[in-house]
Amino acid sequence: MSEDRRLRDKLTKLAADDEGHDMRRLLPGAGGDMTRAILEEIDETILGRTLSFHAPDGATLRIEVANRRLLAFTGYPKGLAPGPEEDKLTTSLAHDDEDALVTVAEAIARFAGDATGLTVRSEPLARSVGPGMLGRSATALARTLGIDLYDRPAPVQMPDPRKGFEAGLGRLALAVAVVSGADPSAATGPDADAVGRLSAMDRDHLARISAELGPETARSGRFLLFYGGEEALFIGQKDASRAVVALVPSEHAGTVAALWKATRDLT
Amino acid sequence: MGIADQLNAMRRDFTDCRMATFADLASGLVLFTSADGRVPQEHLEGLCGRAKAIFSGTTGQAASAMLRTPVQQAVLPDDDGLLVLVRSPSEPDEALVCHCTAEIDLPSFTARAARELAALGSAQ
Repeated sequence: MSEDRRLRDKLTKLAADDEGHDMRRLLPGAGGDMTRAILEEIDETILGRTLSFHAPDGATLRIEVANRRLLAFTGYPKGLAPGPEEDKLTTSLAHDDEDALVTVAEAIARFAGDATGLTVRSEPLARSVGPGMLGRSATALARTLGIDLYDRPAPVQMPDPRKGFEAGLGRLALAVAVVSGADPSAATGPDADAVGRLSAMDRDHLARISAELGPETARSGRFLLFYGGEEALFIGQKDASRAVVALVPSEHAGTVAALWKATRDLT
Repeated sequence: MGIADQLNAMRRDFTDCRMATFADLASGLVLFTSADGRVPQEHLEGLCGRAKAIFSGTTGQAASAMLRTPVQQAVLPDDDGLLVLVRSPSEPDEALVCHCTAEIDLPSFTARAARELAALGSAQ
């Protein structure tokens, strides 16, 4: 595809995207899980609504939801449930119907598949929700699929900034080295591979990266972060001549940056 | 929902993000910008060029060599805050270039920006 054609297609798509203002983009939930995202959408719906989920390939799943409970499927791609099971999708869910619960939960997971983005449209429910329309809770659907909707990884605890940046960094990093002019300290840390990479650090590479900190006279106190996959590279300029270089797990990188700022604020 | 709604919603959720630009790095085109005020086009193009240099230039190559994998996100000092660059996981030529205050919640913000880019990629 030519460069012109690629850009024209992109601009056409961006313009078309702006037409559906009454729809929202639904993004994967924790762990990149779209099934979880759909279940969370149900769990956050209190008033009676019809939720329509649209996949990029045009497939649509339409469900009725109220009181954080799924009442019924009202539209779905053909074949979403295997053969005779499909009838269970259109019956209103009851609190004691475990067969239908499994079929419906698995149908949601099948619809979500590997999607990285859906659009969701929410409308008031066309019919009133009577006392007999109990449906099943998002939590029950999630449990059927082995998902805990309220299970969130605990945020990384930021070390006490009063103990200093390097003391805190030592608890978060895979490997740390202090570079002073042309004289790097030996790298230390719990991960031998990362320690090896920092110890073998290419001085030209470091100089090229550090150039992003700005002019040498203005670098003190500034930091850089580069994320690549599961690791991030942190460079913090302590003063005019010394920089801390660390390889950290990506999930700790933001905490390292916050710790850097907090320890600078204390001085 | 379009790119405008996505970036505006992201900035509503992260008020420390003053500006978010969706850019095509290969062509250097700024495709959409959501910002607190009007941002001169030449400034946006300059940021786009910087993002391209970070991801594809010598800086990116040097950082990638240390990380042993291509750089996907970068946080750099900017005039009076931070420049947060996030590359699309599915469309390597696309990136979000964001100007944020130093108080931005980096883990949450970079995760959200990556998800918005992933959603854009899947919609195209």
